[in-house]
Amino acid sequence: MATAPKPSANLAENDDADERPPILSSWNQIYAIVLILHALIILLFYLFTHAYA
Amino acid sequence: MDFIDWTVMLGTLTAIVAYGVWKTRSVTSVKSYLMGDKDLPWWTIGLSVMATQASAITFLSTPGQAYQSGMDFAQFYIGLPIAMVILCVFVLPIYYRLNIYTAYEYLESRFDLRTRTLTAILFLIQRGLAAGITIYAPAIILSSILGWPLNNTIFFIGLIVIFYTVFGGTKAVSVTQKQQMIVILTGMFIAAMVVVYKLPPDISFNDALSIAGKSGKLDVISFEFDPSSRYNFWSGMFGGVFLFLSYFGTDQSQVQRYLSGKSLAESRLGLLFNGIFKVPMQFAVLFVGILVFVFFQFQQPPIHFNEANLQRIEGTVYQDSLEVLQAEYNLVFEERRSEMQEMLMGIRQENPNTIETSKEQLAVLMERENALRGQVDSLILHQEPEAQVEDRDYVFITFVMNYLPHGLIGLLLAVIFSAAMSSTSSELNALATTTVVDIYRRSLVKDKSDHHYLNASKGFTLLWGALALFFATTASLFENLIQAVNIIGSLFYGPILGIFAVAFVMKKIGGRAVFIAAGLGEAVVILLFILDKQDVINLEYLWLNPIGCLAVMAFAWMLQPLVGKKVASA
Repeated sequence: MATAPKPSANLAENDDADERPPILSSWNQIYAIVLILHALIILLFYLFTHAYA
Repeated sequence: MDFIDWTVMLGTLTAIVAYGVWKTRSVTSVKSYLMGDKDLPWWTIGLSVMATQASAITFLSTPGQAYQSGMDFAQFYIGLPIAMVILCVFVLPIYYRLNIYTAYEYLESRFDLRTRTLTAILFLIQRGLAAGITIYAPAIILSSILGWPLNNTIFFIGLIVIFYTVFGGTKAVSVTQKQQMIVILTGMFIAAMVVVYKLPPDISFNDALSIAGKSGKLDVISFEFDPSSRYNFWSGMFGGVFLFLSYFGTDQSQVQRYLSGKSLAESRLGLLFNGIFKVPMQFAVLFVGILVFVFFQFQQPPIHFNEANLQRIEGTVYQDSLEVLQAEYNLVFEERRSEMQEMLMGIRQENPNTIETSKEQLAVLMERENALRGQVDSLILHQEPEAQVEDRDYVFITFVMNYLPHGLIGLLLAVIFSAAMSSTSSELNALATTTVVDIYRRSLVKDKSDHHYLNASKGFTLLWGALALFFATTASLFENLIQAVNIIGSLFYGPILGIFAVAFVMKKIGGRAVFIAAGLGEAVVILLFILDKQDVINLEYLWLNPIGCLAVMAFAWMLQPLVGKKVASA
């Protein structure tokens, strides 16, 4: 713990193939669902704002 | 508060603390103390991450903010889900691969020891101050309600948190946060139901929304680009993404939560859970404030929400003036209530003329009401020049104490205590971990036994708890508590994120360049903050996050050819 962690090559290029998501077939699909849900929430906020303005 | 409230509040808090202590009775190594046993599932990580961010401030101040200014504060969190996805893609895999204790360890492997130490120290300053405010927030409310001296209340809250955090370390933090979040969500849901139930019988839920909307309280989102506007879609999206990347990716109080996960997949799901539910949760908390606003359109609110301030005037030469103002306030409220009924009729009959006329009348009455409230503030300040007259943080708790049935008052106070405990325990745990791992064990006292570092970790948790108590006793309420915490964060988050952004993205930049760039970037942020405070420029604090981050990246890029050594590989 006291020493610095060893530098690792290609850190940012990790595609973590060994860490499959528990649902769906890839993490990209899960990220897409999160972002789509968020876009829906923003749309709902917009509709809510205009419905009662 | 009566016996039932005390029983519910103390019973809830005691059960949570006892559970945390019992579950962590076997923590005997420094790894277990600082990292847990790395066995947390995603839902515990998600709740723990949410509980860390949601302090007592969230549940005291946010409904008051909605009551006063409407729901635009929800936009502050617009960038959060995007930040969660970016962290899951780029940052978590690196942290897991390096098997680190703190985010700052990564900086040594990428740059050098001094960059790691500088960033750790920036975190310690910023989070150490924030920990004081996190304790202070519920203390001022409870001292006001219970009539306890403020410092005694601060010590009472702080000592409970320090006790179980010192005892069980990071695992105690995580296991208690799960229970605390359950109490918090249940309590807030019940509070919302009670407000709806307490509305006059002829006011439907839809009427309540219409009243709030026509009063300008339901403007959740605005796409107008205006750097001087504190909350809009653009500041939330750009400033917020930078802020939350920095907070969740580099602030050890959050990093430590998801590094305790069973696996990379569990940690990712925990963060994404937060990304999905955080924005709706904030919307819901703000919405409780809106319901309280509608409630107080038909039930007269106090002329000043902080009862303790009004008590300062009792028996003084200003008491007669207060009574005159109160009598006038009563009349204005009655006029306002009947005008509100008029507007409601207009809404039901879909009569735009009636609605417009009533809105104009209501605006005039609200102006008179605000003028009266301002005069009461002046009386308070004449009597007690040091008094804090900003009272919106007292709006929700006033409703809780005056209109909730007994038992639920105790539960809602347990909500506030739980929120204070959950965020403070994470902060103390992270402060101690960073102190031990990044400074004490790395640079000061090397090669000692595991038992030594376990005791040091407990000792530093205790020390940071004592410092937080000190800051809490010296903090003063300025502008608004939740914004105070965010403003402190924004002074440091941008440059810290800049250092990490250079580490992750700009592979050819070395330690010397980024170290100098961090100092220059922090100077730019502080300069802009001061210029804004002096009214030389008009820049809302959320913009300090992207500016600080980009300034560090730009300075590092410019300095690298001048001071940098060739980077071998990164």
